[in-house]
Amino acid sequence: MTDTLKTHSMLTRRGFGLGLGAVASLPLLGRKAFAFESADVVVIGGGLSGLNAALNLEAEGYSVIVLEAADYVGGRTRTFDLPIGPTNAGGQTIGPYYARVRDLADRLSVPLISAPGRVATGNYVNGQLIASSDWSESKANKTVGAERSVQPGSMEFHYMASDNPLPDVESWTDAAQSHLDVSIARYMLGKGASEEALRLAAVTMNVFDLSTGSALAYLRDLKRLGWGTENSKDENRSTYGASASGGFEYSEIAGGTQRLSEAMVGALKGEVRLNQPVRSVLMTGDSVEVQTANGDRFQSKYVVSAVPFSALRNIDVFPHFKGTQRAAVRHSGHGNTVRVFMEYSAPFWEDDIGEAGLYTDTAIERVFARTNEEGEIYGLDCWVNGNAAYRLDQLPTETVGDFVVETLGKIRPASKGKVKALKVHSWAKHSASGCCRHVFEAGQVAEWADVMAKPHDRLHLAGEQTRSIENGMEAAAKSGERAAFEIMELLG
Amino acid sequence: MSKKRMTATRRTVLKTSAAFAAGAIAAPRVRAAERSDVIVIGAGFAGLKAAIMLADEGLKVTVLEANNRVGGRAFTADHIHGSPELGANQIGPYYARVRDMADRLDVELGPGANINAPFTFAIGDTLIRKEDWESHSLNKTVGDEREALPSAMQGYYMKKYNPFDGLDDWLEPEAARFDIPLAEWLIEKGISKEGMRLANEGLIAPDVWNVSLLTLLQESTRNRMMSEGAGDAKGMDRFEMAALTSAHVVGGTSRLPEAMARSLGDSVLLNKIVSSIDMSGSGVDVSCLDGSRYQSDFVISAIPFGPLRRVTIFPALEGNQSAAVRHMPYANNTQVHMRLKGEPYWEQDGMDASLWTDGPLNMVRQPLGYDGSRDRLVALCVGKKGERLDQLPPKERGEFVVKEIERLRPSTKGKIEVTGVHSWPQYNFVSGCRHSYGPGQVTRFAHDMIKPHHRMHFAGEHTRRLEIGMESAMESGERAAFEILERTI
Repeated sequence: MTDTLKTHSMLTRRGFGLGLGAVASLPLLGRKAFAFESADVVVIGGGLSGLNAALNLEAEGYSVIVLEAADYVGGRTRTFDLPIGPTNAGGQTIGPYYARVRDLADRLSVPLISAPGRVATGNYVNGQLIASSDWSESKANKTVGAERSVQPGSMEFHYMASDNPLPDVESWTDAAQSHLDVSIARYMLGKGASEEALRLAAVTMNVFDLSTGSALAYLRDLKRLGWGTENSKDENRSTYGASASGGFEYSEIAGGTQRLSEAMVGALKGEVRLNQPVRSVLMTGDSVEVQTANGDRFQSKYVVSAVPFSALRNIDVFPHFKGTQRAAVRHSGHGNTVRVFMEYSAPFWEDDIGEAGLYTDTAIERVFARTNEEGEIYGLDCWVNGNAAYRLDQLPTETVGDFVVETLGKIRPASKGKVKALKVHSWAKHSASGCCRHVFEAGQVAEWADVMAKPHDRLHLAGEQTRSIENGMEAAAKSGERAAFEIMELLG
Repeated sequence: MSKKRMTATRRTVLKTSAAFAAGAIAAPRVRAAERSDVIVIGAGFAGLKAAIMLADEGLKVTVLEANNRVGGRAFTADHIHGSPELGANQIGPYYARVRDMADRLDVELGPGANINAPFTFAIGDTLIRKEDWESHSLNKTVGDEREALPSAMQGYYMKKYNPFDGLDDWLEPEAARFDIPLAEWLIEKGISKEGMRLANEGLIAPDVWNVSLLTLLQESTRNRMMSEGAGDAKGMDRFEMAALTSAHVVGGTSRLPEAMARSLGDSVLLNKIVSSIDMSGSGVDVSCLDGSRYQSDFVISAIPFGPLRRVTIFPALEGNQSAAVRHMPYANNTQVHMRLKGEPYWEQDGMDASLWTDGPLNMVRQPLGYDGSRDRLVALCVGKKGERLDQLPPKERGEFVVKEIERLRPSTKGKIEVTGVHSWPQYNFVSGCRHSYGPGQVTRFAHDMIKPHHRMHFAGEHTRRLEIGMESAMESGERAAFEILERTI
């Protein structure tokens, strides 16, 4: 693996040299004088979707070049090697029905481990630190009626997961369900949620905010999650990112999720070019010319965009996208997550409420305790999403770690002097993706869901934002497979 | 008025002590909130102007500024050689509020602003003198438009066909028919393909298809009025003319907002990043990222919609106002500042010193110092070119720019030293260099987005009515202050 990557970076260096030459001599020689590198298909984006598209195409004998803007493969399945061990900043949990991801791991001999169980999580709400067992009777609990017995971190499930009106996942695009394409706030209020419940749910829900996020799209995701946990009546089960294993198999990739993407690169015959942000895609007649920021040009019969729309919108595409597809590419909403990984020097939680994890209604939102296979807590993981993540992005990056540690110290004095930030990662600020996931706003499912995956000229669209019924990594893998099949049919 | 405020103060005291008592038991984080009549969010021209007007009327004002400096998009970069202006710097002849404020605070103005050496034009890699353009073989434009310089193509059509007379024509219902993509209108006016390409170059907006003609007509109408009486404008484009008829703040534009903030005493607080505005109670409760809280009767948002998006507002904004805050596009602008060494390169190649290009850079200006110095260059990238430059790490941006300038003008080789890089979209607490309505958005947003929302009022250059530039920020702060004064008296 290391060798493969080394080869790639050498190729990239060569590519870079060639690119500079091209720029310098272009004016003299004209564009035609240069030999393009060519392949049947150019794939833009070396994340799970792009790599899976490439693998599928190669399996049918087509040649592929993958262009990746970042200096690593895996996109939003990124793993940092930290002193506390390999740590996933993005995609992590492999759900029970993630058929493609599980199959890929199996074929490429990438070992899976069971996802660790959930660690007890307390609350800091309305200025008070409260053990989960004291929550329902706490004075800081300003929720109403049946909500009172729901942990703040599970409020979204209480209103969105139980009694999900979608008959099945597939029906989310049916006209009959479009009345659900309203804001999450409106949907929850309709279900009888109090304003306080809304405020608490907003912390965990991975949308920009509840007054803009589409209830329909969120219900789809939860319906899909329900495939694995339908029979679980536990309303306090985990929210996004922390997994529960109530009788179903939840897994993770040993050594970090990024190992899967690296193994996929290893299995490719073609090359993955790192540090190659694409500048333009020019489609003329029967071919495609893709140019990267440093001037390198690639020619192909078809091209796959396997990048989020937040990145695609910075690429000049000729002919232009049209109509609603153009609007979707330009304006679709994107979620953000900021993660701050921390180590601890003593189990400070034993000195206050006894629970290492913490849900808060403050700027740092949630702190998860990460456990290894033996169930030992090896690190803390501050997880801020939605608008609160964009808010943190306003701080200079080098101060975010200290800000989180200080805030934790204020709300949890026992942690003072016992916690140290190791790494800060913002998906909007520190990645070529520019987001952690695509988010439908209210009304956009009806408007855009049908066109987001439609091929445009010779450009085929993959990436998790084009998903129909899958979630997470599986959605990405499936979208790459679909785009590859579309192109195979055209290539014959 | 004073009676009313006294009541408010007593109420504050009660509330405050209650909060304090609860805080003592709960956690050190819950603190008594500070109370004022009006909280102004943002210490740019708009917020400071509003705060000064309100303070003049005897109201207690607190200004919360997220950054560690005041001025917003007026930013004199004293940390870069030559103290370049990164943002606002031209005080137009009719900028009455700005000029009045400078006068009141004894801030000295000098003649002219943003004056450059004349431009040479690079089409591909061919350098063309300004005077050779009209008949040059690389001038592929057609008919009358041939006379317009590449940098002035959009302005040429604006000036020729602008249908507006009054400064508020753009806000009239019948103006809605001009709320279309600039490109569509240019085509209707007979622009050639090459004319369109040039009009797109250097446009301070995403591109010709994604900017509303109407917002450009507003500017063009205001600009036209300003240039009237500027004498013989032959051979000058609107930038050159504006530079000559404008004034600048001696010592840098930042000196004016700094003086404004000083006049407000200790009511301007820096490093206060607002996270929420809660108006669900009887007043306004503003929380900051650092846990501090401020209470007031009214609040003015004098920040761009980009950072306002980061603020949770209760009750939430609705309808067009909510859409405007979330979706208002902002134009981007990335600059690389440089210092020149050695022999004057423009004397060596015999071409005008500033450079307009249709390559990866939009322009490389040579600012003429007010002391006559010519030892600086600034490269400017806007639109997609700016976004692409922003994808490079800041350090590589300078190298990229220098390489490109050296390629176009070999006489600059080895003479350029990068002194600073600034990207407005990547700079904290702004969203870009200015708002930029997309097609259809003036009609949808312009009226609704400035309507007071509960106890919240809106200011900032994006809420302008008649003015442009710094003056539009001042105009907006003045309007928001009047709105609140009407409610308090």
